[in-house]
Amino acid sequence: MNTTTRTQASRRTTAAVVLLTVLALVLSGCGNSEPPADGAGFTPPGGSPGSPGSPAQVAVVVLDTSASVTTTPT
Amino acid sequence: MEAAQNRVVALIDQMPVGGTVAVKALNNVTANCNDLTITLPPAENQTVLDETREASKKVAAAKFPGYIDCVTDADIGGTQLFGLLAETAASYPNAQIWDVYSDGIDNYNLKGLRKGKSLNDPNYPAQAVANLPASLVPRLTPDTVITWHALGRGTDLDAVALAGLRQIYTIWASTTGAISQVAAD
Repeated sequence: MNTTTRTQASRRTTAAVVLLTVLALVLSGCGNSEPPADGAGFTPPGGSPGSPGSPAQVAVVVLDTSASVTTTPT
Repeated sequence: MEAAQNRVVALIDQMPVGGTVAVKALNNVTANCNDLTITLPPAENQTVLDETREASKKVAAAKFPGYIDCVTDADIGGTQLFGLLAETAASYPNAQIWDVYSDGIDNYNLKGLRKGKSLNDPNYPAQAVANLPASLVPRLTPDTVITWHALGRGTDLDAVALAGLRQIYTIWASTTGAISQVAAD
């Protein structure tokens, strides 16, 4: 392998590492102001039972069951 | 609805002792559907607690379809989502975790929303929420987190209108004092 080939391979490796890093950051939600939420948890953010901020006790799931009526004028 | 049912089970899985997970759906005044509520009472030991929790998850999963059938039978043919949200706030004043599933657009409280014309007006979302009756924008308990699921997914709104629709709900949540987030699901 000559110097040119090694340099190209090195650049490709570096590009791949950068791409994977960016991908990991995106997937982890870093840099995204909107949380990739499935929903809030009972434990306060960043906390665990016993940490400052008491855990929520009540959760409600609210359903709009008429979502299928988008073709029905109101 | 499957996502909502899964979310209910997930919440039961993590709820603390003494906690409550409730399901409240669109309802007609002629309907007689009791909310689906699951509580986790104190247990004498961890084993009993775990068994109770597992049993509660099964009960919720089993009752969920029947509850949905009940409220759907009373479907009034359109969404009164803000009324439903206000009812929820009144029924569960201590709820700090809200998951709202709505993928439609028709709304009794926001005439003209249909067809998405208004949603292309950048000023419309804030105006729409400001024009709601005060009773439909209740003050929620501090630290409430509302997660909106599937917003607009059942519509043919373009990206701009969809963003406008989402903005209405996030502005509504902000006005109630809640933290609002849009789910990735």
